[in-house]
Amino acid sequence: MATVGATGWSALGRVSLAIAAKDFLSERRTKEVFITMVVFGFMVAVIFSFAFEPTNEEAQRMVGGLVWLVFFFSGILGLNRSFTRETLNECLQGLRLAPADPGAIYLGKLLSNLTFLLLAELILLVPFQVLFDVHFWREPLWLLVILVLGTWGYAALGTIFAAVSANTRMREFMLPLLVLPLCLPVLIVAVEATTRLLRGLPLDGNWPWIALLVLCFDIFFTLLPWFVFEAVLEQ
Amino acid sequence: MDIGLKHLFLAFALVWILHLGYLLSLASRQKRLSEEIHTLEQALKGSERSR
Amino acid sequence: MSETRYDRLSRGLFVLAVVLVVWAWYAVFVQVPTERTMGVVQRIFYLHLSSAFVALLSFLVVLLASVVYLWTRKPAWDWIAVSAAEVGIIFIAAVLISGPLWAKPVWGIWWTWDARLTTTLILFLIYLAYLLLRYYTLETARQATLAAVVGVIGFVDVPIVYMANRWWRTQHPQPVILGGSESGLDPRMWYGVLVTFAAMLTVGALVFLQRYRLEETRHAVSELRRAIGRLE
Repeated sequence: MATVGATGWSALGRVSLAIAAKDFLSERRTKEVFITMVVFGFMVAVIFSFAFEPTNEEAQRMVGGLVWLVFFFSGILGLNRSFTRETLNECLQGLRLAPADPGAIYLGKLLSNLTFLLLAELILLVPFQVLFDVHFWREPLWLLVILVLGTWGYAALGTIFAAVSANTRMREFMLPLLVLPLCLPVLIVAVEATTRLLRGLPLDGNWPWIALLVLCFDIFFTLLPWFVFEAVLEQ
Repeated sequence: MDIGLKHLFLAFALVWILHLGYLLSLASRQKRLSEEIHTLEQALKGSERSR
Repeated sequence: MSETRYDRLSRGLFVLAVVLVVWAWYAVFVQVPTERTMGVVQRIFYLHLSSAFVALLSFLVVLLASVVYLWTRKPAWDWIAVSAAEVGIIFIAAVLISGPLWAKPVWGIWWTWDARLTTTLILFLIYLAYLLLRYYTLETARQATLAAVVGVIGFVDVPIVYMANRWWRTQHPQPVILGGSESGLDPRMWYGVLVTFAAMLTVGALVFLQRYRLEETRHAVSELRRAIGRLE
């Protein structure tokens, strides 16, 4: 009864959480993903504010897109690390051999990636708010919805393609090449929504429906990789 | 109209050069591989005989 | 497929392609009337549209072949997938070349980020990534599987990319309207479209066949190498 079951929904949950927990523990010690993302993001924010010196009006128009640009690129750094870390100690081999549903490994990795990305993003909002004098938290609930839905879609695609790229010779390059074109829909909506928020416009009318659409995108692009992850892991 | 004509010609020319170029590259790769197969088959027959 | 069957099929397709292409050139340059507002340059449209059609068809083949490959793991399906992907990229390149060359004299700009163009560029990037992935995969045995995963996820996402871009365009309307096809084509123009479609489709099939044959030959070479390796 106490053995880790290999099948069934509760087993799926347990394995996923176990993998996520392993990543959390490892990250708590080294903090590499987190620090990479936050430092990189902060540097980009600084460089942009030097390079453009936007007026208040311009900042309100640009920062929405800028912020997601930063999230995307620093997220790539984080995603890359999530699988290179495994290959370093042949952990991937260990994961493969474990009697667990490969899909659970994907979900676990997705969960940990998503968490790290979200935490880093929340922290990165601060320098942007300060450097560009914009207000993100006018409608905190909406901001959180945008952050979660946007990052989820990005992380879902990013996790599976990080696993795919980990098998290639130019993984730092393959990952963004694969992820950027495919997460464009989510990126577009997130940028639009964030820009609206920054300008103080309400997210009413069609926006709840658009959020629902993004949610569907996120769910679909979590299910599809979950389904094919076994193919990615196999030898 | 003049620029238009130049663009028209350029578009068709470039696209067909692209197609022909690709076909030619396929043909030369195919030839090289066929030669390699021939060599390998000879080698295989050779080593089979010497066993 | 045996060598002679390949040769016969190739020759047949080649002849058909030449006939159709010449016919298409005649149709496009001589028979079809000149468009009123855009002039002679508009004739690029036939090349542009038919290339786009063949490219999309090729990528559909990549999707289907990838799915079947993941299901059956039979190598022939992988060969179909990679051949279709290369054919698709060539035709998308043709779209991306002919598009701006048409746009500049007519609309004054080389490029714009409307839904159609953006999605075409994205398609190009996705399949470029697909081919690069195959090239850079460390263990050649895994190339096919990994590529198939990308093939499936990639194609499924493309229509969503298109729709997202269209929605974005409604938020940021363009001063210039870049139309891909004219609404209400002169019936003589439809004739030009159909002939060019047929011609490009045949060219595509011909190229696909050559590429597939190359892949099969490659496979035979590695099999032979392995056989020799076992003997030594």
